[in-house]
Amino acid sequence: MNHGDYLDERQPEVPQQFIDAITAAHGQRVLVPTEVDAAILDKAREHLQSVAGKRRIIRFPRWLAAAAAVVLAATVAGVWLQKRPAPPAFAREDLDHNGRVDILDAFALARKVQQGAVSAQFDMNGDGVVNSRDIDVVAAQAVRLDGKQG
Amino acid sequence: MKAAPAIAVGIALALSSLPGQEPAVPQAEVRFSAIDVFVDSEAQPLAAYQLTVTAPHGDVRIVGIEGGEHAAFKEPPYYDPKAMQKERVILGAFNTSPAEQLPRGKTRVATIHVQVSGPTILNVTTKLEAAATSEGHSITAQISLVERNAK
Repeated sequence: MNHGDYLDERQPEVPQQFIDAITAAHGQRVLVPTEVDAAILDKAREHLQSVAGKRRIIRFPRWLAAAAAVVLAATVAGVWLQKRPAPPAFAREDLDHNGRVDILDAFALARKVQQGAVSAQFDMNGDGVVNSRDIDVVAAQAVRLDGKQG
Repeated sequence: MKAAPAIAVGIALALSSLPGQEPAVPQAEVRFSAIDVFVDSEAQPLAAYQLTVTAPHGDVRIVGIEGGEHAAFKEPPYYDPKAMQKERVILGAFNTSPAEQLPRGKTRVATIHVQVSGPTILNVTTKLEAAATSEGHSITAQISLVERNAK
């Protein structure tokens, strides 16, 4: 395939004389004067500067960026906390936190009462004082049959 | 009439073989017994214990619980009142006295009174759930049940 065939296929209505002229010119070296080259380059620069001047630069305020960072950190922390196993919840009577209420919890509370080392958290019956009745509450819980399998 | 005695004997034999006249079946024997509960803490002072006593076959009903032999466990242990007339009970007791006032070795910590029906052999099991010294340290101990006056 030559250039003439290509032009004939694409534009069959082009005159043969024009096709011959273009084909002949293609084989010649075309010299572009330096002035023309410089003028084209100047025009291109002007065009590019005008386009750059029209471009909008959106600048977010710093507080907004900080707020976004906080929200992102909170989201990540929330996901991380949800994936972590929840700490075991101990019954209030489970003083030694071994996962069950037994007589040793009542014994531990009795020793605290005896030593006077008690606080409001040991007020098991909610009467405002920590005494033998609170120990009885824990002991009763320890020996309760409901829900316990022998 | 020589036939009269023979007829009377025949009627008597016939009546003795009628249905509904079977000899009375003896009812299940019911008796009461006491089970002593022992805890052996060996050389450690026993300050607290908790154990479960179970009668697996349902022919034993708990009817009463009393304390042990040592002064530290003389009072009846803690137990659920619902255990009365049941076949299972959890016993627990403690004493905050100094170590020298606590029992060591094998000691009777409680006695369980039961009603037994059926077989004369008492079938009861036990399991130690916790035991501790006066300092609150957990210890291992041996427990045993002995039926009082067992035949």
